[in-house]
Amino acid sequence: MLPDYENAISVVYKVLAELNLQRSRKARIDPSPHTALFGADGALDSLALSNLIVLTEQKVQEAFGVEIDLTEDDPFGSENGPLRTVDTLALHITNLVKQQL
Amino acid sequence: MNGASILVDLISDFNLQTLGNYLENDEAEPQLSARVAPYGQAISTLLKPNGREQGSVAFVWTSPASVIPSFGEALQFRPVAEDAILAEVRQFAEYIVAAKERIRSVLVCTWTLPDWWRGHGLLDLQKPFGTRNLLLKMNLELVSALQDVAGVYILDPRDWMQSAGKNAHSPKLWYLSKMPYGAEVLKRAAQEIKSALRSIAGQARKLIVVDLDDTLWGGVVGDAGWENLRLGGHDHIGEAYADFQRTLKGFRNRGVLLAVASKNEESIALEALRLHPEMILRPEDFAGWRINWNDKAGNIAELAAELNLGLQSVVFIDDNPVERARVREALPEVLVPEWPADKTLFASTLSQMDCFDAPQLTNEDLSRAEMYVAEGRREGLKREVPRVEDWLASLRTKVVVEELNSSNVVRVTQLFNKTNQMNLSTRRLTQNELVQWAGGKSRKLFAFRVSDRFGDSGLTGIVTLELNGGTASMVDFILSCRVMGRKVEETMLAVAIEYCRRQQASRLIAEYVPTAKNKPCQEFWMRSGFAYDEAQRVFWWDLAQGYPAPSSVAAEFAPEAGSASPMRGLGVECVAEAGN
Repeated sequence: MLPDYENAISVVYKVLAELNLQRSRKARIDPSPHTALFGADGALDSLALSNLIVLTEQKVQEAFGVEIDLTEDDPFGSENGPLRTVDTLALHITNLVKQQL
Repeated sequence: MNGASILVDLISDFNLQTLGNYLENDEAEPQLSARVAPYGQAISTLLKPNGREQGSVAFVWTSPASVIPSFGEALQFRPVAEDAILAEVRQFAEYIVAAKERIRSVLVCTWTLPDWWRGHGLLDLQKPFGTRNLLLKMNLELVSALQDVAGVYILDPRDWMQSAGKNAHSPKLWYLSKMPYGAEVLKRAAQEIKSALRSIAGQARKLIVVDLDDTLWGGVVGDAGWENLRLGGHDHIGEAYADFQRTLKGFRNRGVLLAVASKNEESIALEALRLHPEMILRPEDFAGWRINWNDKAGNIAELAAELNLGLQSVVFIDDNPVERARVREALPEVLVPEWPADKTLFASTLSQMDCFDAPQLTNEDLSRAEMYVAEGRREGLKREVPRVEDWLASLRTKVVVEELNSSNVVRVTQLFNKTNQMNLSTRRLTQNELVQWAGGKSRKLFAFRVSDRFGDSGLTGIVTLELNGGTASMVDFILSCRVMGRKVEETMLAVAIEYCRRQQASRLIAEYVPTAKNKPCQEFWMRSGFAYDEAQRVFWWDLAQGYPAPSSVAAEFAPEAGSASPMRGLGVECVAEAGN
């Protein structure tokens, strides 16, 4: 799979679909680029963010065949980090995967 | 199990919040609400006497090094006496037993080690340092300590981890959130917990209806003839069909009934079942069949009715997707699994189905298939003998009356909680609740075993009585539908009335509590000879008179009741001889 933004965001959507199985209907996360994940308006608490990180790393490995580490910079430390929205996460994945290839 | 959600306490030394989320948001029945015990407080939560809501379920999943400290030492390659470790395991089991006193059902996981744990290499299955050697013994000790505790059920999470593959364990998730297992393991755990609770609630499926052509064997018997079917032999497809039949036979041996619904000529299909040399399943293995050209949904409904089973007890297996879709649409309560096109997957697909899981197996369960075959012979005789009285007499029915004891309590509890049609009050009680109730002052529980010349139907009836001054109340009157209509009902009344008369009671009352399913019980009582107060829905009998026991039934007390038993000398034999 090509390490481009479109493929990266589809990986994130798969992760969100998995996370939504853990959530009630009304609390499900909208699979859209602008959906806020972490931070003041984010949909995820720290446990859900941990699950997002681990699932994303697994699915990136499956999709692109490379290992990435989303915890290298403290993911809980900054609300302006790459886990802020679906869009920023997809961009971050694209960059990390390109660095690996 | 529809209705309010069941409260499940998740007790662990790691973070089970994600499992709780899966349990609450999975739409499969039963609906659950999860309460996660405080982190790192598994044992204190088990021991906590207050604050735990009664009637809930507990799911206990711990890491071995955490709750068995000596095993933690062994993981560090420190010498620890095996006896000390096993003593800690027994202590842990005692905590579980203590928790069970407050909680209706407790599900306990055996212990595992993460897949990245390589152990001590070649030493790992050796004494004294082998950690896997120790873990095997610990799990056996735990199972041994808990297997006879009513309401405690043991789950083995290794399957969950194997099915999750390389993502089963996640060190990163552990360091981030104190949860060692990946999402796939937790999803599977949630499925297994729900499956276990359905099983405990008596919702296991009891009947597998199978198609024949290209399902039980390869080929169309009506076209090819039984000699040319693909079954067994030196043929990978034939071997796969034979293995599928062996798997079905295994289910039959554990009490799941088998039946056939096939579009075929009956004589040709039965000939194949009888004559094919490599056929594993023979006609006598099936509790019934509908081999004709009718709609399969109608045939399945008829089979279920014939076997006195609800459609929610039925699984239908057919290679043909059109037939599957038809049955799903017409009979939504019947479980129709998607069936693989690849024949080599038939046996493994069936083996993986969890809908037949029973929490316990009684002798009655194990011999259920034989009982239904015997019932078929009985019905055959009924058709041959025109007068019902002659037919009943020809059965030579024998009823043995027992009190509640350690050997029958599992079956009595099962009958209590599974019987719907001939059930006066439809009380549902756990084993502990039943034992406690029956041990109360002035109460009596009689259990009835029924057999006849065609076979043993096992423990199939229960009567409970409560004496209060001159009035005796029949609290429960329960009879399995498999022996209904053979004068066992009247025999149970005769036993109960004779007992009450000997206790100097003057009147026996029985309150009928209607449900959606127990109309047959009311109909029996209406013709029983008891007087009926319709406004109060109470039947009553003047104990100045005995009850005429049916002459077609020979009743006696079980010898193990012993001379000290209050039942001894009750003279049921005489009652039974009193005639009708």
